[in-house]
Amino acid sequence: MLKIENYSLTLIGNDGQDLPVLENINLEIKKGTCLGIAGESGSGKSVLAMSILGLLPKASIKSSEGHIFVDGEETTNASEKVLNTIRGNKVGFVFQEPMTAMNPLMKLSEQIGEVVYAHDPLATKTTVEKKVIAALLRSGFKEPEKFLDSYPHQLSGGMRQRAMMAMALVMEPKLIIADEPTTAIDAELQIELIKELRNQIDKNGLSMLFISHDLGVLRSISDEIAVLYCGNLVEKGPAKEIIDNPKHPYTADLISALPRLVKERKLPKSIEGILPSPDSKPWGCVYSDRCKRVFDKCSSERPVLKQVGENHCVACWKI
Amino acid sequence: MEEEILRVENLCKSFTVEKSFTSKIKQFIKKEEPEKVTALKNVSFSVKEGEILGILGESGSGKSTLARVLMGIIEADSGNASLLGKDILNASGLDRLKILREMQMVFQDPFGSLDPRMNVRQILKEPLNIHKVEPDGGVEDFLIKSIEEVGLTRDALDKYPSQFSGGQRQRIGICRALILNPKLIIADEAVSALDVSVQAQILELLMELKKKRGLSMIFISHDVAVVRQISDRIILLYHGEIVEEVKADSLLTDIKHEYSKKLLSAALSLREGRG
Ligand SMILES: Nc1ncnc2c1ncn2[C@@H]1O[C@H](COP(=O)(O)OP(=O)(O)OP(=O)(O)O)[C@@H](O)[C@H]1O
Ligand SMILES: Nc1ncnc2c1ncn2[C@@H]1O[C@H](COP(=O)(O)OP(=O)(O)OP(=O)(O)O)[C@@H](O)[C@H]1O
Ligand SMILES: [Mg+2]
Ligand SMILES: [Mg+2]
Repeated sequence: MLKIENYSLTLIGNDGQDLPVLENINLEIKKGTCLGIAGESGSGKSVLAMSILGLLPKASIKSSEGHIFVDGEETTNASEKVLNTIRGNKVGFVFQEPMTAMNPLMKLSEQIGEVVYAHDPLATKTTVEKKVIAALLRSGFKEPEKFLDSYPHQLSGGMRQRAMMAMALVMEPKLIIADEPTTAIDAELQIELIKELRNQIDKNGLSMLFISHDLGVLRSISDEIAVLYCGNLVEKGPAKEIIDNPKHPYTADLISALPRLVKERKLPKSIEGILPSPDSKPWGCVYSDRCKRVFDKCSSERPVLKQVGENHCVACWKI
Repeated sequence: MEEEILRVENLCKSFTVEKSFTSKIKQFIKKEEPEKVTALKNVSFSVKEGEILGILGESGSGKSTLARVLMGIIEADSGNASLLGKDILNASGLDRLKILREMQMVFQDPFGSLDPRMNVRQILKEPLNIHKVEPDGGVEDFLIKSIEEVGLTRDALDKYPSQFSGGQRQRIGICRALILNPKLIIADEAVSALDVSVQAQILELLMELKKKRGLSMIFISHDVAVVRQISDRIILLYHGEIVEEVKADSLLTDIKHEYSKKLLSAALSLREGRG
């Protein structure tokens, strides 16, 4: 359904400098499966998601290499016309920030209805409303009828996020790319939404790219997880393997940073240091300046992904 | 330690549900009451000095509405709230300004809540100017001390919000909220948009500030695990009503209301893969 081959992307920074935000990414999503992408803020998750549908502003792109295919069609360097038919028809996109992706002057029913009209200009008002309500219900929106005429600022944070999901679901796309779609909703709604999405993945063959910094959430929805750090894939493999048996020190550190609900009440462990910006990455392994297991080779040579188990790859010199 | 900072009594707020023009006319002709959402219903609680009160509740339960009513951003329908014995809901003009000095808010969105055209020095100076505060030892030294207290360095003062990461921006937001040395901070989903590692750093920072300054805080979040880590006491909101109040230490063992149990078991299953 989705194939990313040796994809690299360089953006243009504020001072005109080169920002290599993605380096040699290889990923694949088979039909009816979900791939989770994890990584800290700034690691390149959103940039990767937007590249798939050519959503990044052209003016900010310096160069790109490699290929991306959606359902067999190449989207890298595709014309706006081709991209437009792929967006919406085949792929639904859930943006990270509902407040910027929603039109503040449009009512809830209009925001979602617009998507239906865009693909079926002859749809009647009642069919559109039916579809809108169904999509909202599937996104976990309680009593959607009551809020159809509400404007974004009249909805709570979690309601806005569910509305974004409904906009992606309403056209019944084959692939959904969801960028942090659950940061503003409570655990119960997250579980409901994950159940609903999982159901569509298993029964209707929906494919999904699910982005989150929260490995706990990714474990419950994904078949596979890829961990991104500084624009590089550092580990990928079956979801359970990654969580229960992380091989890359970064993956392990991300897991210890998760807030826990165990008997002993103590603050989660943050990862020391900060993520380097794309133009000041360490020379060797991208994680070498924060890694607790670093040794000489790590700072002189960049490790590549190595197979360590069935479908499980890690880029680390310690392995 | 036991002194009461904030007292809230029987706070109520409902919103009229937005309707299209034609439905409004229909309602008018049929003399129907406009449809309402109850966002807060008889909410009463208090916050003590040096205490972190956590507020939990599902999406739409009224958490943000509570924060906005207390900050005077929206008006309550009825009820009282007082900070150190002084009424805060009906204050205006100078009194309002005095209250804002004692009570500050940290917002969810570290991107939208800082003015992109101001550098950090200007952002931090603004409240000092508004309240005509002149720190001993000069403004510049004070700003440096303040920015270092939240874990940033002095060169941050000359940068603009866009030059910081999400977590750093949230530190600036916290620094701005603290600059007038308020008694109470209201944090609405202050760490929800941050990645887990930065989230952990900000929680550490808030705990440290609480210890060092004896700061009181209302910490609002939909994330049970996060609220439990940081709070002393927790109240649970359900459809705008407080259904449970519990010590954070006994959240896993001592809750009684059906709704709280459901909320907890969902969080357990998501966090720990069980429950
Ligand atoms: N339009 C742009 N022009 C230049 N640089 C950009 C642009 N968009 C993103 N970047 C940079 O690319 C890098 C990756 O950003 P991205 O938004 O993909 O991170 P992310 O993993 O989605 O983080 P978050 O969890 O905060 O959403 C960052 O260093 C960011 O500053
Ligand atoms: N300005 C407004 N006009 C109309 N209704 C509103 C307004 N603000 C909030 N509401 C309604 O009040 C209810 C409570 O909203 P509130 O934002 O307080 O919830 P919340 O607990 O913060 O939820 P979340 O966790 O999703 O942020 C919701 O039903 C919402 O639609
Ligand atoms: Mg992002
Ligand atoms: Mg809210």
